[in-house]
Amino acid sequence: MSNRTVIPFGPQHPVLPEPIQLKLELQDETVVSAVPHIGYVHRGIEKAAERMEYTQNVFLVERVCGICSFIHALCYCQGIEQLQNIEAPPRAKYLRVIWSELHRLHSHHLWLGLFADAFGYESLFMQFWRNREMLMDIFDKTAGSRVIISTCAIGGTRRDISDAHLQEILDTLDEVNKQLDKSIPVILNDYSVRKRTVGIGKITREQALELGAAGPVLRANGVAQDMRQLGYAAYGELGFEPVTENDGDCYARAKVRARECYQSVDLVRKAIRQLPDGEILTKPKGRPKGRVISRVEQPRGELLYFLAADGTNRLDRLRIRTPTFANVPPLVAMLPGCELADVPVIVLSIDPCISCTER
Amino acid sequence: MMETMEIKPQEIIDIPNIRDVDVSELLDRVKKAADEKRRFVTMTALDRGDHFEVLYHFDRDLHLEHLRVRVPKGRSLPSISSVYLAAFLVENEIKELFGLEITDIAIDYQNHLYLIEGVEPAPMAKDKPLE
Repeated sequence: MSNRTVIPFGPQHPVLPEPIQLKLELQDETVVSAVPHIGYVHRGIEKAAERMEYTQNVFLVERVCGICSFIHALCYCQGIEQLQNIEAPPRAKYLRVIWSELHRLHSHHLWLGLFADAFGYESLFMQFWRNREMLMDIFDKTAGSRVIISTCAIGGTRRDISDAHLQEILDTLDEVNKQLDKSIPVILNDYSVRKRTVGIGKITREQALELGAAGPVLRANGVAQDMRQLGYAAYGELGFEPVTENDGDCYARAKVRARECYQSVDLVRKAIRQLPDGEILTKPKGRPKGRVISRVEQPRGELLYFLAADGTNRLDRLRIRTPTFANVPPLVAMLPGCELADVPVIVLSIDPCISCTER
Repeated sequence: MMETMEIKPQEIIDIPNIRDVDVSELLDRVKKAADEKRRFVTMTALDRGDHFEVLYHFDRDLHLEHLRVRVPKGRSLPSISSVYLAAFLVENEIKELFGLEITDIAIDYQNHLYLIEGVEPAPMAKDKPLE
């Protein structure tokens, strides 16, 4: 006899580091539909940005997310720079790439660990997070802080990286690469992991596009779209090509992030090799006036800032569209047809950042 | 007598690739964007005093295009979630935080996506200063 029930998944759940709820309608053990509920930690940052001076907002937007704080600041600063018609010096553009890719790398490590934990691989979780600690130490050394590093500024960067620290980054990345070589094969080749991820939470390429997917969720469906292709900061000089997979399931999304770890290591090495000498900050002039859209690639996908300024020292409007916000509708499409036991793995496969979503 | 000089306000630089559309033709324009395989990115609402300005952002091959509608306060806007389901979340957000009535949203949270009972509505409206 079949049994149809509705159960709440979250907002507090062992697999969720942050609160989101899915109301799951089940036919026996199979998910029939899912309705997402957010709003548990919304902070009104867009409104706060209208109250603060545009220069102060650099520090405000960093607090949208503790995992990719630098990239939020970068997106905002690039928008203000466009409005003021100024350009960051070449060295600052390369420093922006270095800090951005280190953020992506530590974020993907964080996710790979959580993903491993979701199907009970606690030892693997700890290995990824131990590896991540080396990257957090780089932030501590180069910026004086592990989480909110505040090195991006309107017109460039607030800090430079010394030659000694650049060498230390290269040495650390060698070790990170070595450790990745040990841990990534478990995610990609282990029988149990493949059993829990291959063909699970699958969406088609058409669904991914129609539902507005972003980042690795989009690229796991064979869509080669990554904001770094726009060439912002120094990406245009580093021969960047997006990582794609074709199967659109949990395994493909994991594979995209795993390959992007190696890609980030390569991009940082290249940026250090090509790092030009010179100034790190162009002095801003005047007050921003006009409207602009700034887009960058976060670890979770496309980040979009819309800025409207009227020539005063405050913005008229700051709109922030984060990638997890875009990936909630695709998540709703991934769940129908799956077993209840697969829900945690599928939810984690979009790498949800509720802090970003609840700006 | 001193000669007076008219000071013209500096023209606001707008985002490129933007098309103004009337509310009545919005759904047709959005359907066209969907037929042309544009990816829905998001929407942006601005409170312009007597009206709302709503922007719809679409992407194709990293190229952004935008539709803009202006909705007088007190009037409603049709949901585009029947064409782009992905819009349901941001439409609920705009409806709740700006107080712009959006009709026929695929999943309508009835002004409780973010706000709970008893909270003053439309906190993003310009007449609601941050305290």
